[in-house]
Amino acid sequence: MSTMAPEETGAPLPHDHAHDHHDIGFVRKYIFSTDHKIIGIQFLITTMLMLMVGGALALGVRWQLAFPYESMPIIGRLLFAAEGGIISPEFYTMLFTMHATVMIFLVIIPVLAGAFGNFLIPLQIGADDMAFPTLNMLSYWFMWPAIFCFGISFLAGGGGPAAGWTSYPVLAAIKEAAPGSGAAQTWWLYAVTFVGVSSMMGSVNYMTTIINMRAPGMTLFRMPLTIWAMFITAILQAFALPVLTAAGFMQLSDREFGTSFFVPSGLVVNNADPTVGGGQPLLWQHLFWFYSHPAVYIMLLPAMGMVSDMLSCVSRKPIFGYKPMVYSMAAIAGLGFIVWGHHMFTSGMNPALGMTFMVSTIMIALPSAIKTFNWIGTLWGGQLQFNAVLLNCVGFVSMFIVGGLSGIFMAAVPVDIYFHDTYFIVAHFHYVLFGATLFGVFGAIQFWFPKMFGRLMNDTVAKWHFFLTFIGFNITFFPMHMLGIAGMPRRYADPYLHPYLEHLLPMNQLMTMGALLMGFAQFLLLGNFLMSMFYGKKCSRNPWGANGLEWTAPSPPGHGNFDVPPICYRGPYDYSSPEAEATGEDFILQTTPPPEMPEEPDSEDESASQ
Amino acid sequence: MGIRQTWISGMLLALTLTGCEPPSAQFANNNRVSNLIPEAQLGITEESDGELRHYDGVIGTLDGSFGTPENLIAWMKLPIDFGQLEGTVAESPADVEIDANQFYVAFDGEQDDIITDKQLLLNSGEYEDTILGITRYDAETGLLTVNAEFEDSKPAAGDRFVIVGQVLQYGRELYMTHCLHCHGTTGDGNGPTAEYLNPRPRDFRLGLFKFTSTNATTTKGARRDDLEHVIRQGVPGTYMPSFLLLKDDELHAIVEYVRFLSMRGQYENDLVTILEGNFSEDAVKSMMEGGTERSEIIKDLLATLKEDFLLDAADKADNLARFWEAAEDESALVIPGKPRTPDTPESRARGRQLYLSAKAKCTNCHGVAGLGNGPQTFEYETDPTTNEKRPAPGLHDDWGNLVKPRNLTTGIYRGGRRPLDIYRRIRVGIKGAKMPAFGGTVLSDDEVWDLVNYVMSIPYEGKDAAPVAGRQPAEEETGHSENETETQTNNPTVTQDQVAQQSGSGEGR
Amino acid sequence: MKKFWCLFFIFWPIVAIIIFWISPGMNWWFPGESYSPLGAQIDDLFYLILWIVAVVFVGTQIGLGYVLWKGATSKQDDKAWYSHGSHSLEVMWTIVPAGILLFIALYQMDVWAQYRIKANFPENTLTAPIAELTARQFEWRVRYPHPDRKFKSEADVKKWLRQPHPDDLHTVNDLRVPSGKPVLIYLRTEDVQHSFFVPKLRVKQDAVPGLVIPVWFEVQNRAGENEEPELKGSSYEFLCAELCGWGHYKMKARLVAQPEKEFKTYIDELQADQNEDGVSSDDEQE
Repeated sequence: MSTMAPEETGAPLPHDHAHDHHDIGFVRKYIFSTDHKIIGIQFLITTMLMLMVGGALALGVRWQLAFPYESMPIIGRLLFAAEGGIISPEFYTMLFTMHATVMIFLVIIPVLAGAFGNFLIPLQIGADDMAFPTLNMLSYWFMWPAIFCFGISFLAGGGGPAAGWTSYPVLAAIKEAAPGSGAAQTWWLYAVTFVGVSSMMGSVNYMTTIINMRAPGMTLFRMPLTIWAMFITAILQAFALPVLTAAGFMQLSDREFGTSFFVPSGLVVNNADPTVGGGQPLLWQHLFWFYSHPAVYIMLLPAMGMVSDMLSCVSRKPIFGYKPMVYSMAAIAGLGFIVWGHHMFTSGMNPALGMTFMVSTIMIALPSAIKTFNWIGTLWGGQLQFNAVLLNCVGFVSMFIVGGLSGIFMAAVPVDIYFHDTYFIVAHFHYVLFGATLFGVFGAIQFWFPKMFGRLMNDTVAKWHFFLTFIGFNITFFPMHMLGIAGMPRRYADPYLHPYLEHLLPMNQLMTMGALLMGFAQFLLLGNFLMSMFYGKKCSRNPWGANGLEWTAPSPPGHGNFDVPPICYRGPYDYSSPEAEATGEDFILQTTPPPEMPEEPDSEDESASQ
Repeated sequence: MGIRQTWISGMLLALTLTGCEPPSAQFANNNRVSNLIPEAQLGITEESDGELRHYDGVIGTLDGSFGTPENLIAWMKLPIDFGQLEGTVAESPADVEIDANQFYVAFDGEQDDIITDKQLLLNSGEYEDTILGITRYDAETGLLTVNAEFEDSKPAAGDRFVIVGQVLQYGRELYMTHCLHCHGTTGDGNGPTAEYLNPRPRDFRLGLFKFTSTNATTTKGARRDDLEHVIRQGVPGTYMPSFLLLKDDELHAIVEYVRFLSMRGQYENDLVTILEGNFSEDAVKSMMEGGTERSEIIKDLLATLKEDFLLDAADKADNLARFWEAAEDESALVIPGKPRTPDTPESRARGRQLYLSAKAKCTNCHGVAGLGNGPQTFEYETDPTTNEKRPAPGLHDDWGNLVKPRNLTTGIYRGGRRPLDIYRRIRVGIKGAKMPAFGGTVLSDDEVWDLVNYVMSIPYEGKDAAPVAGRQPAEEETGHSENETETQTNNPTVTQDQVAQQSGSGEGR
Repeated sequence: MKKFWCLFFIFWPIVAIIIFWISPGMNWWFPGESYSPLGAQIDDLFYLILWIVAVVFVGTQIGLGYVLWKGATSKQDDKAWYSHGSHSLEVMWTIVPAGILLFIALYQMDVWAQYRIKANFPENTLTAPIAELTARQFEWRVRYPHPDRKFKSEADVKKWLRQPHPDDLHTVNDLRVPSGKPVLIYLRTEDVQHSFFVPKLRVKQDAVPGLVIPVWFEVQNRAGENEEPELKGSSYEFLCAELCGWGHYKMKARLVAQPEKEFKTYIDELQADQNEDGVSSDDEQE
């Protein structure tokens, strides 16, 4: 593929803002940095570490399901020596609770919005930094109190939160109800609040930056889909998060100050005195899912956007149906707010409400389907570059199809009566969150790594990583559909206690082998990442021959990003266009002016930015 | 490169620290054991005639009799059904190829125990006294797969073998799955989950179980039936759930294993008691202050360990066996001498009188209104082991836990809700707790039944909970005012006045 | 290598289809056919969706495989197809899925309405509850009304639910219902949230603290493999499907459906057992 550094067009402007902060010290530059790129990379590395933590917790879960109440390696020896390494059921409960928590709050949400949102938004819209750089720095540093609080919750009062990541009351609202729910659950709530604050700061920043700081000529419909996705995600987060934070504080006060927002009267838990007060546990479920369902799209949309960008680039072909892509993302976000009740079909809420939620939920499959068709359309007739980026993106599409289709079963209320809280749902959300989002993230790491560090990641290792992860992933999660159909409930420390599930043990053991394979494959990613950071092949500004504004900046971009403030003349996906061919390339940078109007950016707000 | 090396060496370090072998479960020792001097705990090795001989202390003797969780010992002296299966090696059918580690067997009787992973002892023929581990058994064909390969000849048809302890081992496996988290490996009520539970899980090591049907005057032990009842029905109001769906053989195996753990705990206490007088750290210290050389004491201990200790231990073991056998004896079972007195208002009123009377003293603990808040619950008790006042007011059980007298208004009866169960609670008491046994002399059968009728009516006093009498026509409205507010069963709103007023009204059947 | 990756992406959906195809035969499928009309309806709806989904899955994966293969076999100097999309295609693949999805949504309504909307409950079930099922950590407590207790109205039932009665019959982890007719139980919890799940009957309902939720279902008269002669009925395991604490997985219980006559006998036996005084009846100990 061709590589080239773009010529600086037009008269060189004085780059005063690009080079005037040379002498800030190491700490300001790399640790407490306000530079969006450093913050993005900080987010990326933090989340990769957390991915390993969350993965280790998942392996603990898988071990118990494959070898229930047999000696667990390492953990069993350290913590359960007296029992011969047999873990306790509340430890298992903690494992899956913290696996979900870490993966959702410390990996997927921050890696998408925090790492890639931060890194890509200013670069792709042609801004020199975020609108609020200090706020941006704080949004990263608020992750650490969250990680700290989650860390404490492992140690405080009985070995970790054990009410699931959904933290349903009354289990989570009364201290007596769950072991480890003493101080641990409270710390968990603090941590979720900190994560929320961090995300909120990011959201505000992204919205402001995208609205106000686009380069001249970067109209809304010239924005890359990544930016659209980040923009919509930021809006979703800004509207949904306050609800979770408020609900979190209500639960906190239920736990610590004896209020009863979620606790009805007369419950006797663990032989304590009967509860007083007329709360309603369903209230929490409504509030929680009002955030957490949109959160599912927060965990997916940015990956969708990035995959669209990458697919277009590796197919050397414009994205198929740009506007339908944008509209379907907006539709997902809009509908995403009115589907939360599908998590509660069996909860005893008004059945008429169930019907409404079913219709909205089933209809949300429509924009997802449109996007899928458009991705396939994008690949159609393209000059495909079979590198690790393409593989991960195709993996994303392929897995998203499975995750999307399995969702239809659970959206259908009568069928959900059976499938609710079985492994079918575990299969579904892992296909969406891991199968789709993480493959998208793996691709994005590979794709934008050169921009981050000025070096390429090793493509062969990345392909091996994809190959092993994909196989391990499918071995681990595809059989979960079968477990769900066979009626195996979630969150069971020992499902085989129930005779109708006994025959599923061998399948679970196979799945655990897949999970181990997948877990070890991640060392390839980590190794590749770290090695390439220092020893990777150096690259020029535009190693992929892509169109976006970020590729006109140096690799890695200096402070202020661009040598010259970029001016945008066209959309981001004009690969293989006749205009590009005229230049002898199959891509044309967004900054390349059209021949007929060489100097005039076709934007109305040019004066504001120049 | 450096980073990757650090990673790898870090992981290797973690592996060396934790090791690869899975840890094996161990029985823990009682706190009292650690009060003994190390020699009394571990025994003494003596050299005589150029030979080293070891004389076991408490720990060695105990482990020698009961083994470890992964290598249990069937001590035939104890009244436990360890399980014993005898059989003969059978002729292999001519047309079937079998592996070098397989042969056919026939059991003497019906065989439906699970024998996989159990050990088999051949006691005749070429392989006499060989112990084999069973890896698989096919009940239909009788084909047995073992963990050893026979090179030349297999056990010949007609060789006798015996499998011992399969019930106990099966019990241990089930215990590990169902019970371990709360009751602990040792049965000390101290599993990993235990600390979160209120009340604490039962510690089996005193040999005491609260809800029994055995006459407290002849034995403090519990019957197999009592344990089975608790496992099947659970203990309402506690975290002991009902394991109703365990199969009979599973239940039996668990009960035997619980009894095994219980006996192990009792025997451990017995052994400590033998040596505690002279060889506890405190006793040795005071003797040394009195001028005795430590070596003298050790010599003394050696002499004890050689002879007296073994004799005493054998005595204790006999007692232990008798203790459990006595509980199983028909004569220990408490059966009411008379059928239940009909549950009439008059009977309840008599019960109420008794409840308040100085004879039964129920109110001392359960309180006048049955709320479990009698004056005794405000007294500071004396700890019998230290002779000091307890730090918290209230009643303590033999395990030293603070226990609340039952709140009789909740309708929750831990030992069972049948009239028979309540009768037995009054007659037999709650062993290990402060509920005394009102045996034959204190209360007559009639009186106990009156008391039962009264106690069973307490939860419904003052509530609009009219029974639909099976024998009398339905009496939906009993003249009480309709109680429209949400009445929680556990909402203690009944005052003494109401009780008195209600007990006379016609609410009976 | 390009073709390898194409085959890789074509290979796995084929494996997925094969696994789904062989699953029923391998017993990786529903825990037996359903023995309740609700379950049969749920299964039918499941198969309907499964077929639609299978067609879409095959279609999209073939599409994906095809475009990949085309990309892999195109020559190095071929130009990519310069296209920004197709309006008519977009319209088509919006309208068609929308129609199918709407059909799925509307087609589900009836079954849901029948089982969850109170107005559609079978006649008289609301005033003739079989039992009150109370979940607690970690067991199921069952309370039957006295066999002679007749409820006049729903308010009457509510009055009964509000508090225990001296003549109620209690069991644990063992719920009996008459088979062959709609039965209704009231579901509640004593502590945290639980969920009543009978896999073989496809029944599931959360037990929410503070609520008493009526659940109706019908167990068919034919018992099939669930027949348990010693119970004089057919036995269906039920368990908890909503995380309720460390012992969540321990909440194992059984639902026994018996012909009306046997059910009556059982209730009578239960009543005798409930009044057991160790002397009056012969079966002294269990």
